Amino acid sequence: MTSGPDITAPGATGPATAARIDALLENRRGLLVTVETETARWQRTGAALGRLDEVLARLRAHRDASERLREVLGGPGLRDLRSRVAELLDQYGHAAARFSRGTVNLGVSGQARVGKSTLLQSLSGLTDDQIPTGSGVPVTAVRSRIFHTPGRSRAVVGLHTPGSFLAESVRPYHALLGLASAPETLEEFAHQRLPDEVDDSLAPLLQRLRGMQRGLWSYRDDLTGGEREVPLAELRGYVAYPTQSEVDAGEPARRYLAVREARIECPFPHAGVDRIGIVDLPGLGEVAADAERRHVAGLRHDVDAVLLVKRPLEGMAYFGAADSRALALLEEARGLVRRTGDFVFIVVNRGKDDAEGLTAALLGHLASEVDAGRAGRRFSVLQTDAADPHAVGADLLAPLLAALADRLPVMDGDIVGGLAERAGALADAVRAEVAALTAALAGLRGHASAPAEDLERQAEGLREDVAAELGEVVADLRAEVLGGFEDEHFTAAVEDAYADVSRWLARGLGTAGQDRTGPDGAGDPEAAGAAGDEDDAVHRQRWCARQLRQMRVHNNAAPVAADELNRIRVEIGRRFSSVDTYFEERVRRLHTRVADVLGQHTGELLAAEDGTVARGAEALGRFRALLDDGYEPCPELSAAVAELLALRLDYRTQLYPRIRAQLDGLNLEVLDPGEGQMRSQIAVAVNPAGVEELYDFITVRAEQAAYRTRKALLRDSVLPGMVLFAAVEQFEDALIRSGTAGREFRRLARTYRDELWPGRYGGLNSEHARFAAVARACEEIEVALRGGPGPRPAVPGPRPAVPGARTAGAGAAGARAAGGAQAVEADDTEDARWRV
Amino acid sequence: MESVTTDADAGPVFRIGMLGPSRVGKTSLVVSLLTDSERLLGGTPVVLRAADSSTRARLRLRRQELDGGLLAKKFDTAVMRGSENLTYFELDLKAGQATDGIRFSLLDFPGAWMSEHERRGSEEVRQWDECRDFLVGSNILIVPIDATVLMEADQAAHWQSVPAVLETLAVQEIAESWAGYRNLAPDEPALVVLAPVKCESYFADNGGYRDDSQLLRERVLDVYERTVELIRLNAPHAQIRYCPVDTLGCVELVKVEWEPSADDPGVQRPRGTFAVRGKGKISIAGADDILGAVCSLLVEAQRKVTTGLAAGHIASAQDMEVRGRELKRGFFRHVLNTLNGNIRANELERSGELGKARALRAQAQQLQDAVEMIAGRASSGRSKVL
Repeated sequence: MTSGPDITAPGATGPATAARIDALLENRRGLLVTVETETARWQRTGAALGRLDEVLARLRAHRDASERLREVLGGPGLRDLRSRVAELLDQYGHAAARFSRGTVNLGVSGQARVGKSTLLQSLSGLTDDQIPTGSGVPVTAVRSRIFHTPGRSRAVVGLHTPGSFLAESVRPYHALLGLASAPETLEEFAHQRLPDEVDDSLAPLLQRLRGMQRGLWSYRDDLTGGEREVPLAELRGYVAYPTQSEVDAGEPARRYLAVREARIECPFPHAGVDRIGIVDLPGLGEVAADAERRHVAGLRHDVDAVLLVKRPLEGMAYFGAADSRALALLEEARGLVRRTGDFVFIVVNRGKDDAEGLTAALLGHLASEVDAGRAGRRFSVLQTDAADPHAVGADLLAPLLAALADRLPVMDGDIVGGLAERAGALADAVRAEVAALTAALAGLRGHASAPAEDLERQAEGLREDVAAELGEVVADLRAEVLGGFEDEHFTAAVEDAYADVSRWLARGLGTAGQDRTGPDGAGDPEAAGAAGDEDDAVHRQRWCARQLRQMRVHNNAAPVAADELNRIRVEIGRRFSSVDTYFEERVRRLHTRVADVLGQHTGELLAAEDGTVARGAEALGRFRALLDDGYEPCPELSAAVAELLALRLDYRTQLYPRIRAQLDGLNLEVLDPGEGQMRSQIAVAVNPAGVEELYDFITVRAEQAAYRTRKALLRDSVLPGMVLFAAVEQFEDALIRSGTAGREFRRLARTYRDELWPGRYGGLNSEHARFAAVARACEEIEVALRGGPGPRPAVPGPRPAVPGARTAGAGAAGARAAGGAQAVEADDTEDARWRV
Repeated sequence: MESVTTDADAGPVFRIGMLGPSRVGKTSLVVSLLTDSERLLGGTPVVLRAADSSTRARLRLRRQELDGGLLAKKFDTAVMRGSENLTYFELDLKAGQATDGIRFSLLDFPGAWMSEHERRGSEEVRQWDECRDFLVGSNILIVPIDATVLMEADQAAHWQSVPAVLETLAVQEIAESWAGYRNLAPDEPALVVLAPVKCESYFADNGGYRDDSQLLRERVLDVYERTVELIRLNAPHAQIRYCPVDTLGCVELVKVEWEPSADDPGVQRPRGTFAVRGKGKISIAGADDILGAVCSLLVEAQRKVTTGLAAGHIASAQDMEVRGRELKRGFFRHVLNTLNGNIRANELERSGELGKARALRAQAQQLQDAVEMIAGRASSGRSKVL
C-alpha cells in the first residue's frame, strides 16, 4: 500500500476537463478503422513487393538470363522500398497502439537530480519505497507504467527469459565494447572472461557489464518469463538501481536486471485523473547500452505527452547541451506530431529553498534558447514544487490536462495526416519503381523468340505423348472395373479391420482394460495391452458382473442391452474406417502414376530450383501452379489437375452409407418385416443367467454385424476402382480433349519451352514463365496499392482469364507490354487477350 | 433300370434321389420334409410315414442332432456329421383308407462319393454305381444346394471353390443322364427340384430381417444354368422347380469362414456358424413346396395307374358281357350254358370286374381329390416353376 500524503486537490483538474479527456479517448477509437485498413493495405503491398523481389531473383538466376537483363533487374530500388514499407507499417503500428489506449499517458523525462522521481511520487501518491529518489545518481532502472486505480494497490512485473535477457540486456554491451562473441547461455555469461581494460570512454560500460555478471546470482532465478505480482513494499528492488550504500556494503542484489517493465496500479491523490497513466522511464544520459534509443522508443510507443523536468539549481539553471540533446531525442519521439510544444511540456521544479534568482535565470534562458526569445512561443513552461502534491495538482496537472484536452485531437490528426502523406509518397515511389522496371523489361522485347511453327509441332507432340500414356492408365483402370478384378490389398485391408473388430469383441465386447482406464475404456494402451494377456473368459465375467450391477440399478435389462448395442454398433463402424489407409495409398499411387506420365514428357518442367524432381501429388501441385503462373495461363488444364488433386476415397462418406444397414441388427428394437412394427430382440431376467444370456446375444449380433459389414465392403471392392477410373478418365478427357486443350498446350509450350525442351531453343524469351511471374507480381502490387487482394497463394486455384479488366495501373500495363509476344494465333482471341 | 417297380404286395414303388455333395444337408432336408409333412398333409386324406423301422431310426438320429444344436444355441457346420453309408429311406404315402399307399424309396448317400477321388476301394465304387443307377432311374431328383456357399462367397478364391464344394459338374452329369432316361418314358412322372437349403438368413418371411431371396435365386440359376439347360434339352416334359428351404427356420447365420480344403488343393470350403433365433422353436419353411410337388406328382402317377387298372377291369367286364351274349345265343346253347352254369359264372365274373373297376375309380377319385387338396394348400410363396 502507498503511504504517501493523503491529499486530494479537487480543484486541480475540473470535471469538465476529465469529461473532455474521456470523450477524446472514445473518439480516438474511430481513427483505428482507418489505421487498420491502411495497415492491411500496406501489409499486402509489402508482401507483393516481396513476391516481386523473389520472382526477379528467379529471373536473374535463370541460366539463359543475359548480363544486361541481370543488370536491369538488379537495382537496389526495390529493397529500399521494402524497407520504407516496413517503416511505414511500424508507424501505423504505433498509431494503432496510440488510438487503442484507454488512458492519456504522460511520460516523465529529465536528467538526474532534477526531481523527476519526486514529481512522480507527488503525481501518483507512491513513496520512496516504490519510486526511489536519489541524490544525483540515477535510480530508475526499469520502465514503469503507473495507473490511477481507485481502491487497489499492486504491482505486476514482466520478467525476462534467459534468452531475452541475453539478447536485450547483455548483447548490446558486447556490441558497444567490441567483444568478440556474446554469450549464448547464462552459464556462458557467468563464466565469460571480460577484458581487464578498455578505452576510457568505454570503461563505465564495462563496469556495468561486470556488475551484471557479478550480480547474476541475485536475479538468475527471476529469469522465468511471464508476469509476477509483487507487493508494493518489495517493488523497489525490482525497478531501482542499488543505492550507493548497498554498493558500498558489498555485492548488491540486482533483481531489476530480470525485469522488462513494471505496471503499478494505485489510487492517485488527485481528482479527475481516472483516465491518466504515468510512464516512468530510465533517466536520460545514463551510462547504459542503448539507453537513449530505449528512452525514445519508450516515449514513442506509450506516451501522449512528455514532461521534461528542469531544476534551477546552482550550475544547472540554464538550457545546456545535455538539455538540447534531450530535446532532440524528444523531437524524434514526437514522430508525426507537428508541434513539439504539443508533445513536450517543460516543467521547472522550483523547490521552496531554491534561489529565486536561479529560477528567473532558468526561465529567461529557456525563453531565449528554446522559445526563440519569447516565453511560450514553442513550449509551455509549467512551474511547480515537485515535492508538494497540492502544488503539482494545481500548477501542473490542471493546466497540463486542459492543454491536452485541447491539443490531443490535433496531435491525433497530425499523426493520421502525416501517415497518409507518407503513404501517398511511398505509393508514388512504388509505382514509379514498378513502371521503371516494366519499361526496362519492355526494352528486352523480342529477345530470342522460338520459331513458332516448330514450337507448335512440339506442343502437339507433347499432347499426343501425354494422351497415349494417360490412355494406358485409363485402360488399366477400366479393365480393373469391368473385369471385376479383386484388389487383394483392399481385401487385406478389410480382413484386417474385420480381424481387429473380432479381437475387440472377444475381449469382453471391447471392454478389456476398462477397469484400468476408466469408465469409457478409452486411452491407456498399456492397460489395454495388459488386459489383452488375460483370458477372454475373464473379460466376459467382468462384463457380466458390471452389467448385472447396472441391470439391478435399473431393475431392468433393457437399458443395459440398448446402451451396449449402441456402443458396439458405433465402435464397429468406427473400426472399419481403418480401410482409409488403403484408400489413401490408392489415391497416392494414382497421383504418382499420372505425375510420372507428365514428368516423362515435360523435360525439366517439374524440377525444382535445386534440380530435385517432385513426385506424386507434389508434382501435380507444382504442375498446376506452373499452369496458373505462366505468362499465358492455362485455366482448363489447371482445373483438370486441380480436380484430380481433389480426388478423395473415404470410408465415411463413400462406403459407410452403403454398409450402414449391416449394423441395423445391433439395435435393441428392430423392425419386424412381417408385422411392420418395431419389436425388442431380447428380454432377459435380471439375474446372473440373464446377463450371461444377454452377453451371448450381443456377441452373436455383434459378430454377425461385423461379418456382414466385412462382406458388404468386399462386395463393394470394385467401388474404389470405379471412383479412380472415373476420376482419371475425366482428367484425361479434360486435359487432352476439352475445347481449349490444344490451345492451352500451345500456351504451355510457349511459356515453358526452355524447361520442356531444354537446349532446343537458345536464350530466354520474353514469354517465359519467369517474365510472366514478374508481370504478375507487378499487377499484384498495383492491386494491393488500390486496396485489392495481395499475392495469390502458392498453389492458386483456377481463375478467370480476364486480365484486361485488371490492367488499369501503369505497372500492370507495362508488365503486359514487356511480354512482346511473337507468335500470336490470329484466331485465338483468348490468347490475344493475354498478350500484347 | 426301372424307375417304377411294382411290388406284388405294396403296389408301385417310386424313386426319389437326393443329389448333393457331402454335408450339404441331404438328410436334414429329408427330416424337414417328414417333419413338415404332418402340417402340410394334415386335414387331407394323405399320410406320409416311414415304411420301416430302420428308416424311422435314421430319421430319429438326425432329428436328435438337430435338436441338440438347438439346445446348444449354436451350430457349426463343420462339426455336423455327414452320412457315412448308402441309405434308403423307405416311405409310404397313403392317400385315404381305400388305398394301400404309395411306396417310395428315397436314397441318401455320402456326398463325398460324388467326387471321384473321394471314392476309396472297390466297395465304395460299387456302391456309388448303385447310387448312380438309382439317381438316374429316379422319378424325382432333388438337388439340395447349400445356400451359404452361394451367398457368402465374396472373394475370387471363394467363387473358384464353388464348383468343387457344390460338385456342380457331377450334378450336371447325373442330371443329364437322368433327363435322357426320363425321355424314354415320357408318361412317367419326372421332376427336378433345385432346393437351396439353410436359407434362414436370406428370407424375411420366417423370422428373419433381411430379404436376399432374389439374389439367392439369381445365383442358383446362374450356377446351375447349364444343368437346367441339359434337363430341358433331354427331357422336355420334366418339371423343374426352384424350392428354397429353411431346414430349421429358427437359426441364423452368424459368420462363415472359408478354410482350405484338406483334400482338394486350392479349394476353400465354407465353415458356417449359426446361432439359434429366439426360443429355438423349429419353423421349417419351403419344405411344403417340395413335399407338395412330390406328393402331387406321385399321387397323380398313382391315380393314373389306378385309373389304368380300372379301365382294364372295365374292359374285362365288357369282354364278359360279350361272352355272356355269346353264351346265350340260340335257344339250346342258352339252355345248355344255363344248366352247366357257364352263364352264371360269366355274369359273376363280369360283375366282379365291374366291382373292381368301380373300386379303382373310387380310389382314383380319392387320389384326384388329394392332389387337388395338396395343390390348393397355400405354399410358402418361395417356390417357382422354372
